[in-house]
Amino acid sequence: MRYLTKGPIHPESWHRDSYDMRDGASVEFLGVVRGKENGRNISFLEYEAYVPMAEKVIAKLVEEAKKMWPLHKLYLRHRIGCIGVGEISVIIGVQAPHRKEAFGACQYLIDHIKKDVPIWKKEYGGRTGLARGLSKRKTLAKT
Amino acid sequence: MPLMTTKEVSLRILCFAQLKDKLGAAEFRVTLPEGSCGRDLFAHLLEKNPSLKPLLEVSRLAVNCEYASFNQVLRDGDEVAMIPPVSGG
Repeated sequence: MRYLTKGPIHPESWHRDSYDMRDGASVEFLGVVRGKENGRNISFLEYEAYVPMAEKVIAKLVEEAKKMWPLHKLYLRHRIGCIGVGEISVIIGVQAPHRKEAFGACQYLIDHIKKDVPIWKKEYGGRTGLARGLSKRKTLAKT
Repeated sequence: MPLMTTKEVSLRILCFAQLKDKLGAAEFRVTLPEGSCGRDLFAHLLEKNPSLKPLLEVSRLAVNCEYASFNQVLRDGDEVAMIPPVSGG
């Protein structure tokens, strides 16, 4: 897997890379698991993906973004599996010569990830870890 | 009199998220007459599971990891994924 990962996302991993001297803007988007969804407490989210297609669709979006904006550095990871409240589910980092380009590319990528990439999340709420609409029990400790 | 044979296509169907939960299976095979398209597959699934209608109506179809139109003719051996509304990010 190139863009999908089962492990935690560490933003500092792309910060450590060398900076391109042509760039004057660096924009980073982090998607973080909220503690509440529609007024209901969440204990964690479980992300499921159609992995080969998700990788393909993300790769295509990355190529499109690179054609539309002069990006010299792009880092994108989407985590799958169970993710606790406060943890990062997705990271998009882009660097470009100017802020407009960097913001534009980052916005484009997250918008299309939410719209087109075959990834689904399921909410597990409260102390019981009960999935919404299902009777199946699941807790972070077991996964 | 020549023997009439009807050709069929065998498809590998993948289901995800709510569709998988409702069908109780992530993967199964469906056999349809040759020349069937995505719309025919939806009709076939709906006939067997009428309660899926609201979800199927908002789902997309992917053939061999590419989004496909409902008019696309399905070939023998195709991997067809039923994609309910996505919620990544």
